[in-house]
Amino acid sequence: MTRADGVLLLVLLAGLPWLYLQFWSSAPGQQLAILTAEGPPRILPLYPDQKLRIAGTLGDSIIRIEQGRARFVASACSNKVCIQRGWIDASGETSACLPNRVSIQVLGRDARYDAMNF
Amino acid sequence: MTRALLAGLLLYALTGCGRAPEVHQHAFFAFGTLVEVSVADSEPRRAAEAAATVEQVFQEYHALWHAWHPGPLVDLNRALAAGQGMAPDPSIRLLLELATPLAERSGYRFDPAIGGLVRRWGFHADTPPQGPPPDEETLRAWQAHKPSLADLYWDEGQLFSRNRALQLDFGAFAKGHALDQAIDRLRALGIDNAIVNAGGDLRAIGRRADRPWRIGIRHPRAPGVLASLEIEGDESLFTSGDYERFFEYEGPRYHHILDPFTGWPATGITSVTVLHRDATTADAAATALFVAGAEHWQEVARAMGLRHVMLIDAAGVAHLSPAMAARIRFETDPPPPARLGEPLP
Repeated sequence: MTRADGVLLLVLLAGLPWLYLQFWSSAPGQQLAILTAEGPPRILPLYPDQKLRIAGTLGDSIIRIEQGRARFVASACSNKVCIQRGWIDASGETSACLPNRVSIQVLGRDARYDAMNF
Repeated sequence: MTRALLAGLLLYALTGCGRAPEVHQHAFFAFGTLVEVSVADSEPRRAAEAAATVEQVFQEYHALWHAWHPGPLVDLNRALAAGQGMAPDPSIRLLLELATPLAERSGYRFDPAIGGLVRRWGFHADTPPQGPPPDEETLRAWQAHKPSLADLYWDEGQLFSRNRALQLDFGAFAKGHALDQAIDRLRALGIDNAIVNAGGDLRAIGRRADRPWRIGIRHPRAPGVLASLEIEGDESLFTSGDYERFFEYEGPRYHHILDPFTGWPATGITSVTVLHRDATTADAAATALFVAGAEHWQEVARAMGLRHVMLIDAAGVAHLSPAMAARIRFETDPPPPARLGEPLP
């Protein structure tokens, strides 16, 4: 084994954690799609943590992204079903505020499911 | 150097196996819900065209069949309430032709003639009602007339009702029929591998290039997935649950699946899942079985020609037809207690 082989091997080994994260840890979704009645869906990563204010047809919905999960924390609807739904983190999972026409869905590269039935 | 090359090849192979074939997804709002169209094995442009076609179908029917926004169905209901005849929109005529035998076979547990009851409960609104529930007297008054689809008759192309309390509401049915129409349109466009998911009720055709479509069934009482199944070919999966549309008033929860015979939300069941070829039947059946409950679901399933049924009762017990038990995989640990029904023909 030459010195160059050794360096290359080290570089490859160092790259393994990246590969793992990229291709095996896809059960929890990595991105969030936000859909509103107006305009195309907005897609953003589930990190870093942040709070988003999304304009719906009735008013604003507040969506919190935290540690790879997302949820509605406030919404301009009356029944708050969207908030009761709680956190979503698995690929394909959705939470929607239908009155306000705002919904969020976790997207993942290797989604466990192609669709959710409920 | 050979070893380094091998390592490099290995790296290449590892990254390659992580890539799943592309599925194009589009989403829009219709029928008061989120509709998602997933198309596999197609050019992005064709997939987008297909999704636009599906959206057109849904928006068209949304306007034609709306039970409380001004339109053809509201006009028809007004005429029927006034004791007059009317030639309905052809799409409404077709809905009635499809709904009538299904209602009959369900023993009128599924009955689109109960629009007046749905309205009294406050579900004819764009946002869920706040309560209170209708008082006993209001419900008794409606019950005294107890309209059903059997009260309708045709005379020279006009629709009449023997019962003026009859108000049509296709809420438990229209989504299924729209899904069937959407799938027909996709096929006409040459799309053979797709899922149209209308707010959790779906029809899937073909497969996802590398494998069958995988569908997760949401847990009715907990976050996450209760069970999953695979669809390859052409099947519809419908679930009716008490968690979908409801309101709480001074404690109790009142959901939207109303029992035509009591006038109250049906009790004893939290969700019903039906797998069937066409979405129209699956939609009507999910409602009918929810009303039928744990005691009568098997006779209703038999009468409606179903084979794949799952009910989750209020105690969390899964009641399954044998064919459904063979298809479904529970994803909870431990799986729910299950009770197997008699085989459905």
